[in-house]
Amino acid sequence: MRFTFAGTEYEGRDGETLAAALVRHGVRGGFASIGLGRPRGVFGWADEEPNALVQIGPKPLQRATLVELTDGLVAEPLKGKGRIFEASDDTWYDARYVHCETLVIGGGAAGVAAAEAGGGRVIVLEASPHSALTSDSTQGLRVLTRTTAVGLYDGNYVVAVERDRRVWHIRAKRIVIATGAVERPIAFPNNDRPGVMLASAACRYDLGGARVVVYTTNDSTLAFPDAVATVDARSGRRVVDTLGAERLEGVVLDDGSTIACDVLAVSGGWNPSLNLWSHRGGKVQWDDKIAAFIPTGELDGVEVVGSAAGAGLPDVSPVWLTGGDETVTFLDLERDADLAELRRGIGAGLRRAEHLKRFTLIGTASDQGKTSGVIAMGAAAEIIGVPLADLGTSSFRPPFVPVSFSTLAGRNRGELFDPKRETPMHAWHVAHGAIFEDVGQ
Amino acid sequence: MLQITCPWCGPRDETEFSYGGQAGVAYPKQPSALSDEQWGTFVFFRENPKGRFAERWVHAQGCRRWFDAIRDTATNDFLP
Amino acid sequence: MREGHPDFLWRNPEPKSSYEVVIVGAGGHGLATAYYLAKNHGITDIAVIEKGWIGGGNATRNTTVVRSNYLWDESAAIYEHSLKLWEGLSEDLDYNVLYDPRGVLNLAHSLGDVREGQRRVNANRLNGVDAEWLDPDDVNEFCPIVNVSPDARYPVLGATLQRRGGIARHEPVVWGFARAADALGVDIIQGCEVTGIEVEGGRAVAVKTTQGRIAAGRIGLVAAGHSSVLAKYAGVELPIQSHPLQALVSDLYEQVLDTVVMSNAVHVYVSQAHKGELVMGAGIDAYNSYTQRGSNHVIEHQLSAALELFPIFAQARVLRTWGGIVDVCPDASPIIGATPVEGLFVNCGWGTGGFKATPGSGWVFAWTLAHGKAHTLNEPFSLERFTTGALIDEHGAAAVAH
Repeated sequence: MRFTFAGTEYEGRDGETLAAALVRHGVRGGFASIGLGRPRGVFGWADEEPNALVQIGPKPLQRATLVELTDGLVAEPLKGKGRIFEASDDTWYDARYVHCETLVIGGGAAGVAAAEAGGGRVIVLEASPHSALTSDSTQGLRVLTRTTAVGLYDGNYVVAVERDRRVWHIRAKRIVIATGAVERPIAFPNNDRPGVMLASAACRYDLGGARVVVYTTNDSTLAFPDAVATVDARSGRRVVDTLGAERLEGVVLDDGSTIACDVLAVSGGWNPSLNLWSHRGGKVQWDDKIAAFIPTGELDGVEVVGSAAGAGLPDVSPVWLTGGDETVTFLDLERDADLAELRRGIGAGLRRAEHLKRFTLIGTASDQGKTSGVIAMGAAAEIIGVPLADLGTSSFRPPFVPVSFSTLAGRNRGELFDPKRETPMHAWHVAHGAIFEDVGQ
Repeated sequence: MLQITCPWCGPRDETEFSYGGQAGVAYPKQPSALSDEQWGTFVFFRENPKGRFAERWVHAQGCRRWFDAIRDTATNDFLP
Repeated sequence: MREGHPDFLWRNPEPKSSYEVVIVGAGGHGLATAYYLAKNHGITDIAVIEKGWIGGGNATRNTTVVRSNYLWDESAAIYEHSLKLWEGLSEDLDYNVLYDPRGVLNLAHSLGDVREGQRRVNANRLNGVDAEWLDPDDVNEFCPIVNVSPDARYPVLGATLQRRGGIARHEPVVWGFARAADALGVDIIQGCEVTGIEVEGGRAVAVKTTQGRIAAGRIGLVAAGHSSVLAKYAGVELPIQSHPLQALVSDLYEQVLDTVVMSNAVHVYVSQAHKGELVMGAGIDAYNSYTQRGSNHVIEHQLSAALELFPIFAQARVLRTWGGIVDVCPDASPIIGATPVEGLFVNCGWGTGGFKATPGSGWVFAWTLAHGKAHTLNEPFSLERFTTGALIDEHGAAAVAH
């Protein structure tokens, strides 16, 4: 199949995302940042992607990492802002209302185990197209792929969106959050150069013959047998700068040496994905061992399992501050927010995550800070000289990923927005030429 | 979306109900005997606690009957 | 992305054991009160105490609409006073609050709406508040993306327009007042929750807090959402109910909407912020709650309504929804003034529309705290009106049904 990106036609493969195809074709940049217009490229693997935003026809700000290729697809890179306009749309938006005893959010290993152990009617939500489970109505098991839980509400009520066109309203006796963890980057000068990627993304993409350097703070990045070099922060080594212009050409280490490379696979640690837990008011606490927020306390009828609960995540020796030019040390790629601005906010007297977020805009973009929130807090805590937990946490709000107005409005449009109520005599009145007053009913 | 238990129909979605505010507010036996202040209090002042709240609901899209419930306004959980 | 905030905002002081005035609540209204107390009345021995963080309540959760086109004389006077302060606020605070008078449209969808809207235009003009009536064609010209088709479920039959109305941005407003108050010597104490109010011989003398007892000459409660809870510490009952009010923002888009559009009947109020996100408010959730979250069906209804009026929003995407707690009064007007407890004053009940009043509310409440009695602008907004029956019913002018 063929697709077009930024006016150039490429060959695509079945089951491939737009981002995966671009990376496979060696497109490292192709995007530009919202504020400074700096070159950016594919950075993540799924919904955490901050750079690779495209407009597809009338649909703005689609993440290339989530766009499944179709023949003839035309995607235009966006500089942080999308375009909305009136366009015909024959999509059938709809909603389903279902109940179950066990709702499992996330179809990874922990989710599968929870589904197999779950009693009664079980529903499993899996955001990707693939699941190890298949629906089995005789066992009361329903597996929904390409379905993302976007909100967890009072009364154990979950709203999930399937392919941005069908909204599932699910009332569950018991909810198991198995949403996994998202890798986070490391802040150092020019850490935004196209070719710098999350290690978990880089190891899944077809990088061709690219020379890969790994920069890590933990043991989760062992899957790079062909790496040119591994810079392990735990042994005191640091990447202090990157080389190149439109794309990465090499990295500079703390001893002044340089290594030529095309891809820098970065792992700053893992953040359990606790958005849904937070929607209902669930609390989190900082865990020094894995350097991440984990759930704490209880919510009636809700449990968190697997890496979303911090289980199985590697020990991390975080690197919050590297030094060097802080105006090009990026904390939030989608917002183009840098360390210098964070430091200025702290200098202005700000001591709380919520204030710093509003001062710098870190975490307010459409990726909801999936890769930026914790590294900004880590840096702020180190600059102020307090434990990270003292800054408070910024709570997450629904939806987990952006959802179109059309999807959420569903069928309640036009005549069905608010059905007209007419009296039994209405037809008679019309037939006899009555003049009506619009009373707004 | 709250889940509200109608005592006659069982647990139902919030959208089937309408809200009636504080429960147990009795109409004065002799309104004409009230001072302006007492009348104003009856008409305009209602409890607004953060915590346990006895309130009225009507199952408007169901059996259309009124009932009382106790809910924690700090968590939205209905209490027994 | 740089937001253009100044290099210094505020100190983070420890509380003293006593202040001339203690203001509970470091939101926009509380901080504005402290600022005007210091600036206009020379009182600087003030603590503003806040259980969370500066501007963390409704100040950061609202949809930033500014206007003064209220129906009754009493409301027009106080909101217009506020609007005049907005017009000079950036200069006064030396902080660009991004007040942008881009006009506020209130759409009419029924003959009843039309009559009410035209009445309001006339009332506004008599009070010196700028107001115009627009026919559907004028609406189409002023805001071409509004669907004015007569076939719409709720057709647009006209609109009121206040050109001086518009939007501002909440962080610079709140932070601007905080910075200016701090610079005049006001102590802003964050992370300090009030757990009680000491009353001696019918007079409020101190607040008990999580950071200890703080004595006060006068106490002003300016803590939207929690007004009832706080007043009750001093044995004062308020005619207020606390409800969730939800709002949402979209992703960032190239500009498509350069005004504020409100529709009471269809339950939409929307503007597009300077950065590019659509900012929309929903109706209140029906039940009392302090949770700062609401139900999803309210948001879904809101989006259906928005698409009726703005077909161009079809592929816009909801980025984030949230809830605040609004203090709702029986007449949809605020309470600003004394309480039966001497030395204790309240500023509450702004319902869904407090942001626009921020400077005016602070200005009159500062006057009230300085003089121990209401200014003529807030005299009608007394707690006694719920005994006398002199209500100021602004349900028609509110953005959403209360």
